[in-house]
Amino acid sequence: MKDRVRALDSRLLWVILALVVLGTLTLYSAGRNTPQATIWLKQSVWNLMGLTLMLLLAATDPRRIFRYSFPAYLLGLVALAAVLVVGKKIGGATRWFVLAGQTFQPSELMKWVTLLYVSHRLGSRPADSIGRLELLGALGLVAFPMLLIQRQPDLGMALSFLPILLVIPLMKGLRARWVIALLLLVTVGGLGAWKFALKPYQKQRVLIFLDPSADLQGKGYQVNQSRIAIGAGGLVGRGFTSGSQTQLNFLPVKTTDFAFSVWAEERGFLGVLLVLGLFGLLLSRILDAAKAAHTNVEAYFCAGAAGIFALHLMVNVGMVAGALPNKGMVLPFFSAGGSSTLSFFLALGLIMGILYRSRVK
Amino acid sequence: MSLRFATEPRVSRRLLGRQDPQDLLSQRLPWIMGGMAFWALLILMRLLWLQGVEHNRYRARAEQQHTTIVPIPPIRGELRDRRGEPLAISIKVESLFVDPRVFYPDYKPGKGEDRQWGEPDRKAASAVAAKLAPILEQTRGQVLEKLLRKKTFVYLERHLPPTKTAAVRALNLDGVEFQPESRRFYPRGSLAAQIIGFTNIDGFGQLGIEQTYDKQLAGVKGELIAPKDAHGKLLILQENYSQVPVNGASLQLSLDASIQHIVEDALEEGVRISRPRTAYAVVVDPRTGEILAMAGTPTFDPNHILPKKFRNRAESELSAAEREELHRELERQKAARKVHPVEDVYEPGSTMKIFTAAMALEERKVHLGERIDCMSGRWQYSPKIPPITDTHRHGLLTFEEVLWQSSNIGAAKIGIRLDPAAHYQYLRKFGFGDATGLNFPGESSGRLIAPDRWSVPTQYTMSYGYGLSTTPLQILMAGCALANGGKLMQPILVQRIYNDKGLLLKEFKPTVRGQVISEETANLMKETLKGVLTQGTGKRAKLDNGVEAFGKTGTSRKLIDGQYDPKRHYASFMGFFPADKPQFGVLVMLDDPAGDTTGGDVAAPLFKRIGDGILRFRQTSPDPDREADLKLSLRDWPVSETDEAALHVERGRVPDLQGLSLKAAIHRVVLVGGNPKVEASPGQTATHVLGQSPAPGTPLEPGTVVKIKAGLP
Repeated sequence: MKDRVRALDSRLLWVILALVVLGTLTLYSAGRNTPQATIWLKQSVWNLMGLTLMLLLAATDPRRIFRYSFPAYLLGLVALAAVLVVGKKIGGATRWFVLAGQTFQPSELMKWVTLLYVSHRLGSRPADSIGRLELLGALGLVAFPMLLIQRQPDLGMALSFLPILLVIPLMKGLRARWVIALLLLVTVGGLGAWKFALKPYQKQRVLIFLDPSADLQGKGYQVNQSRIAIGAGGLVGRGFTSGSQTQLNFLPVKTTDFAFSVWAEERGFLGVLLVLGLFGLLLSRILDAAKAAHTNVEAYFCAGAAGIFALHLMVNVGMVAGALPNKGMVLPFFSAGGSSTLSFFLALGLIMGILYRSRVK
Repeated sequence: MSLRFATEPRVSRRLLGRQDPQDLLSQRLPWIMGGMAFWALLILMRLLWLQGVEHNRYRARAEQQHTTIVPIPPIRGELRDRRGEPLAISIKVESLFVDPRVFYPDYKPGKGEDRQWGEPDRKAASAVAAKLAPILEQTRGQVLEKLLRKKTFVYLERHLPPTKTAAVRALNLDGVEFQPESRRFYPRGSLAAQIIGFTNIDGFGQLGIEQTYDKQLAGVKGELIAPKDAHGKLLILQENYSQVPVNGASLQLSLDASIQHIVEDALEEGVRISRPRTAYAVVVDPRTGEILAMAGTPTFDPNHILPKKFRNRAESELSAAEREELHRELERQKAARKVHPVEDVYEPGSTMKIFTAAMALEERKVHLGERIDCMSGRWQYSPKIPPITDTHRHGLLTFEEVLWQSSNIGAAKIGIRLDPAAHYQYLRKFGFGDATGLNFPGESSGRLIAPDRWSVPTQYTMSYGYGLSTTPLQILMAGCALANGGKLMQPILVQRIYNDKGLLLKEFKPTVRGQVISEETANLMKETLKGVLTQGTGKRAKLDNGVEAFGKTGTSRKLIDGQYDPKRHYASFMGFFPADKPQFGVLVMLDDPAGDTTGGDVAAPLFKRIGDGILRFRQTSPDPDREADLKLSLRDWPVSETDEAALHVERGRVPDLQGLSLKAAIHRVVLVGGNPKVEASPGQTATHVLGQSPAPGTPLEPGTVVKIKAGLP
């Protein structure tokens, strides 16, 4: 046990614990006066489970985990296909398995499994020996689960797979033209998606983002209410459990997508700086791990993980501040949810394992 | 599990140790990190913009979204009679309303078209309706319709009895709220109803004093600033007033409820016997001009403006027969609400003769005992004009006898001795042709034409009361000028105005409008008019126990379609007592009594009845002239006494009312869901409870009448 604890990276751990505490306080405040009054307790259970998993994983040799990346990826694809058939439909989307009264969202974990497998595939050989077929194959590995997820539909989740592709430009020795080709592909793909793949509600979200006041009371209502809450918070905030927009339920979906608005209203810009600073520490530590990693596989994984965390952070905060379209992307440690919480902790556990291995060597 | 992998990493065959310690990743990492940092900076700027620069704007929008102003109705002031007996009081009640937004989960606020209601949660609303319907005694459908109305405020029921509010409170329903209101209660029912008036369900004064003094009585509505949540649910956390409610002022009226009761009793008797269209009477204190009683028939009970079956129903819901009934009821009420003594205008007839006589005496155109030829009942004073006639033929009559026998010819002969301009001036000084200054809604000023427009017979006919018109109150005030030594007083109905803490805000002191005739002349007239009751037309007005009074009968023909109808009359009697120093001036009027009768026949007995009643009351009452000092009794009243009552009552049983003040007793009965009914005998001051029925402790069905016998403690 002692050794296992030693495997934990203290710098990463303190940042995580701080974020978990702040997130729990936010959920406590957000749940007050609503039917979800105990959501902070529920989330604390998930957090504890997550921390335990992280502890276990940190003490495990990362290579043992990478070894299982292929079967895990296949299993994930099966799960994504299965959820379309037997999943539970909530709010018009089929994203969840129901197990023993708990809902589980396979796409949350699949994101990390995909990163795991792509890192494994690309990192197992020197970058200069990787051909174009390998690169296209990696693109396909990412695109395939994205398409399955888009069938649910869940655009936000599908988009959160994109940072995995960050691994490619970071591969040492890969020529610049491949990076440019990748950028072009993503751009063309995005435009193509707008034209052919996006559902009307998704297009609407983007349009509302461009002009939120146009449809104030419809879909833009959420973003608009979030902006009012954040703006009303000011520099120092309204005080814990004293944010009027939060407590009087003007702020929508405040335990998940808009949890950060609760924090911003009640703790103000100073609180925002604190949380963003903590996330900055988290990201820099993950990048440390990428640099310190012993193998390409581990380095790629850490880089991709930093990308995924950064995307969640930027998109969620950008969304609640009204600077990005409303994507429905959760904020790690703040938004309530079992699958995402466990997935984030699993990834952090693996990163800790990588850090530990780089230290002991 | 072993920790082998963590402590001693197993070396794989292909990936031996660290491959390239310096740079596993390409040089592009700083670029990507820079991009992320740039992006993060943008978002941070955005947040700083929202929370720093635009903070005040968003703060204001948040305030505007979540604060609402809750009106706090003030308690309406009281009306008390001169002895402090409550005539109109307000008790705190509650109305139940719903904010239907709670049943629209997709409700989005906004102005006009932007406001979106979405689909209602019918299941939740039906459940609430099912719970409320039996308590409110409405059908489930009726309640559900109100719950789902697309408004932010819908009354479910006004003025709920406290038992029902308790039952609804116990359900603890979302969106169903109470609004405090004050309910008007008139302890003496129809007593002085036309003078007092009534309030509608929203508390606005509709008639009489309630209307005239509505602003003072109503007080100032308070406004409480309170937060509300996204669904409009109020959360009152603290008393944060933007306007503190100010309870209404209370009025002390000059009316004496005991005398009013005596008068109304007498009128009822008069109506029973003579069956006039209406009968009315006014009692004034000639010394001060204070109106002690003013009543007319028919009357109404301001506690029950509409019969119960018409309440809370739209006209379209009624059947044809019911609609007919409602219209009849409304017509009847319209008639009942008329305040005849100040609104009716009539030709005063014989009563006018006393003023003609007083003017002539004052101007020395006639002297006591002077003989006047009354032409055997017919005087053709001008060839082309109809003659003046008397009902009884008289030859020579003295000045006094002209008044006692009420000779038109005699009065005309005295009147024309006056210079027309002087005659007119005197009439003006007596107050004819002008409003009395009472400031009562609908008051008429009568009609008096100036001498330059008089025709040949005008001065003749005016001398015996035709060709000019007055209100009954005008002529009584003029009569009081004869009784009080020649001073025309301004009538007073409201004596004092107090605020809700018992502080005197305003006092209406007796006001002399002018010295009309000398005191000497007035006293001569007093002496002369005593004879009307002893040997003239008003013998039937003579009071018991040898109390001297003076007065004059009046019988004037009604002008119907431009013709005087010889068979239809205004029959009146105006009298004053005690004769040496009159304290009471009484005018009784019967409009169109059945049969060919005179004021002496039908009105004089009612004067006697009223006068005897007042005198008896004064003998039995320990302190008949005592005026209440409301300063003490008003202070703290709406709060402490009624709130204390709420602690002591047991719901579902008749409370013990013994010894309580009338107001507290009424409040307790209302608290347990009963319907209080105050009873007092004529000539009794009712300020405290003497007895009750049913007895204390009896089980009580909601709405049961609880009789409260009231009197002096």
